[in-house]
Amino acid sequence: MNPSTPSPLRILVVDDEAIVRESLASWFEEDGHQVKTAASGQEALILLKKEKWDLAFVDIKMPGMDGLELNRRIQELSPETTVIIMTAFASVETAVQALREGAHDYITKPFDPEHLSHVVRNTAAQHDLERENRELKEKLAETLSHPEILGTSPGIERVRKLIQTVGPTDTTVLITGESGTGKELVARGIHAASPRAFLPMVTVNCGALPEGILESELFGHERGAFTGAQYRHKGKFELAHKSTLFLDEIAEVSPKIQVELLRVLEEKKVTRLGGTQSIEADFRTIAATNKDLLMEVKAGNFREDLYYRLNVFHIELPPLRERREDIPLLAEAFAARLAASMNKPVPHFEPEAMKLLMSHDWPGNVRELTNAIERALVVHEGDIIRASDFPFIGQGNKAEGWGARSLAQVEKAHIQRVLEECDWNISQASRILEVDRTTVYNKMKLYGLKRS
Amino acid sequence: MRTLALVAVGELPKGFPALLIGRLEKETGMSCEVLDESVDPSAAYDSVRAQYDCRKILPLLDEIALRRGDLVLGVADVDLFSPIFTFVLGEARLGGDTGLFSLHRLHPSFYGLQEDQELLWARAEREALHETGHLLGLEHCTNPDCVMKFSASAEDVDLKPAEFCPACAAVARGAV
Repeated sequence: MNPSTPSPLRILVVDDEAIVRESLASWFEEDGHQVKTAASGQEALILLKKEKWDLAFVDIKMPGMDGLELNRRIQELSPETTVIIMTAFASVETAVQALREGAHDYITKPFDPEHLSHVVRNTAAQHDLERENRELKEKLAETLSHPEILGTSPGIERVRKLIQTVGPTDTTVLITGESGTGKELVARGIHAASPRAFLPMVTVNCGALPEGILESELFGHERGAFTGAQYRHKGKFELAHKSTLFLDEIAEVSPKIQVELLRVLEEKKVTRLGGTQSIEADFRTIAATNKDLLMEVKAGNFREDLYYRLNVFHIELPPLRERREDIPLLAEAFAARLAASMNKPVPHFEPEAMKLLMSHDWPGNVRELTNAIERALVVHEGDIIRASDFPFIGQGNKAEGWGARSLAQVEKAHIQRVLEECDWNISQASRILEVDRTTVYNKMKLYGLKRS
Repeated sequence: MRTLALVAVGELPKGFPALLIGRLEKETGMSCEVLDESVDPSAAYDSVRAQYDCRKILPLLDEIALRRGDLVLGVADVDLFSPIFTFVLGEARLGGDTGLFSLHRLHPSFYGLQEDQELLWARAEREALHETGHLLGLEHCTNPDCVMKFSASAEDVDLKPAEFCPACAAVARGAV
């Protein structure tokens, strides 16, 4: 086989002249290709219906169905087959017509071995590229279609269903849920289920950037638009062309940017800062927040029109404490994934440990659970994760007793726990808390802490 | 063990085909000899194409192979063609008894370059070994470091070595 030929091809040779069929077949076979021959268009069609062919060499002049007609039929029947027309010098014009009708190339009889070898090599390379491309797309689609939204609880099943429903559309989606519930994961799931999946999703964390920088990040800027703008910069809207723009922490956007956002979302046109031209961008929007956006609207912090523009399709993510039944599955999946990244054997959870994890309220949701598992993986011994590997999930953190959300509540609970540990010995408690005794007294007074 | 007989097909440059024996014996392990008789290719001449039809020469070599019971490799210096190709460098019956190749398109002078006997010899060794490989049942090889690599031109011939890759060498030795 020719060394540059990437892989063997399935070649069909169609010619009414036996010498051409036999010579070409033996020539291709010597190169390691699989070859069959047909003496007429009808015979070729039977073979084409039965099997898949990478390459078909079709003689243009044949009695009955000629090469032109056969080429047309192949284009209909088996468009993935590359057709090479074989022709005499006298019928080059007809060959050109075949090219217009979808044939890939033509070769003139007698064949130049070098040219023929090029044609086959190029076709093989093309088929390899196409196959590679197809396989990569399949792999990518497979990867993208399984963003790790784990769980079997009704709450998470509902979310999964909503993703599948809204994913393939171009509808704007608002994802809400507590911090750590996996809003970005859901956004990725929606993007993956959309026809835009083959381009990367563009993410902007609106809460992480000061107004000026966010503005430039979102809309881009022209050179010299402001001090330090040395180069033209494309905004995220432009970068999300043909893809999805994920606006995380949307509630944190300033009123000024809210106005600009609304305009861009409605017009699908962006003007870079310092620019005059508006640029069309075909993006799909997904926004997320851990705040109650409607409350923000009522409080006058968020524009109502922008709220309705974003809240076309709403997905609310349940907090982990409302889907405790998913915790074992999540814990085991995270442990397996983290163990692999740490090059450790996958550990098992002792029943007590799992019970403890399920009893905890997880105010930080799945993110907190992941961190807890990671810590346990670092400290655990042997191949079993025990309840003692989660020392921070103490009595006070149990679901039944956990209600603290504000810093003051947490501080009160913590001081009370330390005082109880020290049998209400103020000096000992102040040492543990690393504050002076007066502070402990003041806090006790503030929070009304008394020995019962 | 069968012998590989080299037969001149028409007039050949001085020293051919005897110059090929050393390489062929070394690489195939077969004993080679140059026959006194030669084959006249004139009956295979196609006046329209001004070339020689290698498919009409091979039967002449078949007669010799049949008579001697040897493998026969014809060496020509005329431009060869097969009906569907504009030219061929050589042709052999895969796993058969007879093969043929021509020096015609291996001469640097064919491409308008200065004649170079050393280069011609080097190319001829590769082509002789390649066609003999086909007689021993070898198909084209994907390894660029193998003489069984397909060559569509003299340039291609120059790129490959005058030896089999280990895999083809094993098959060739087995056939011998």
